[in-house]
Amino acid sequence: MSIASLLLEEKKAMLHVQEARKRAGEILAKARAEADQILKSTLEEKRVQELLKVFEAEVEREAEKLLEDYRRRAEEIRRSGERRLEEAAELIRREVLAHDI
Amino acid sequence: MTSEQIQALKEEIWRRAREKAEKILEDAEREAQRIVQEAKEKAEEVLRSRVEPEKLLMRRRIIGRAIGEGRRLVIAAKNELVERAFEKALEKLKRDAQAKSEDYRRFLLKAFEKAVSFYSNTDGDLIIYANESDINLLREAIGKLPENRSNRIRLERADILGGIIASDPDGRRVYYNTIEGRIEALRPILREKVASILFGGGGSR
Repeated sequence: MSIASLLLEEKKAMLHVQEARKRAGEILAKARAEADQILKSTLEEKRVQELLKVFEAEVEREAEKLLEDYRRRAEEIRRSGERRLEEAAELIRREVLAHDI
Repeated sequence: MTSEQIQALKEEIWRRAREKAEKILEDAEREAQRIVQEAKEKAEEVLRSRVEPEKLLMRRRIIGRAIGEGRRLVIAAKNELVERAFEKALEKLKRDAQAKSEDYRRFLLKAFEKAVSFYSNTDGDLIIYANESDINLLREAIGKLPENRSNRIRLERADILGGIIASDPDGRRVYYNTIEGRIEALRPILREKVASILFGGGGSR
C-alpha cells in the first residue's frame, strides 16, 4: 500500500459524498415539485367543488336529522292535542251559544 | 508509513465520508419534509379562505330550508288540530240544535229577543228565518209578545243549522244570528283560546 492508493481512496470517498449531494438535490427537487402540485391542486375548481360536495352531503344529513326532529314534534303535537280535542270543541260550543257575544 | 497505518487512514477517510453523506441525505430528507408540510399548511389555508365562505352560505341555505320546512310541519299539525276542534264543535252544535238542548233553546230565544229589539224602533213587518225544527219554539216566543208586535212578525223556513236571520220585508236591514254565522265570526277570537287548550299556551301560528 502506498500514499498513491490512499489518495485514490480519498478521491473515491469524495465521489461518494458528491453522490450523496446529488441524491439530496434530487430529494429536494422532488419535494418542491410535490409542494407545487399540492398548491396547484388546491386552487383547482374541480377540487373545490369536490370538497363542497362532500360538505353539502354532510349538511344535508344534518338537515334531515333536524327535519326528523320537527316531524316528531308535529306528531307529538297531534298526539297530545288529540286528547284535548273534546275540551276545545266544548269551549267553542259554549262560546257560540253564549248570549253575551 | 506502514501498511496498517495506511489501512487505518483509509478506513478513517471512508468513515468520515459515509458520515458526511448520511448527514447530507438526512438533512435533505428533513428539508423535503418541511417543504411538503409547509405546502400542505399553506394549501389548507388557501383552501379554507376559498371554500369557507361558500360553506357558510351553503350551510345557512340547507339548514335554513330544513328549519323552514320543519316549522311549516309543526304549524300545519297545529292548524289541523284547531280545524278539527271547530269541526267537532260544529257537530256538537248540530246535535244541540236537533235535540233542542237547554243551552240551544236559551241561545235561540235570546237571538229572537235581540232581533225583535233590533227592529223595535221600526213600524214595519219583521221576517224571521229559522230552521224548520225551530219554527214551533219561535212561534211560542212570538205568542208571548204584545199583539201589536207579534202580528207583524212572520216566520219563514231557512236551510240553516240553527239560530235565526231576521230581516225587514225589503231586506234592507238584516240581522244574522245563526250557528254557522257565529262560529265563523268567533273563529279568529276562538283560535287562540282553542290553541291554548290544545297546545298548552302555544299559538296555532
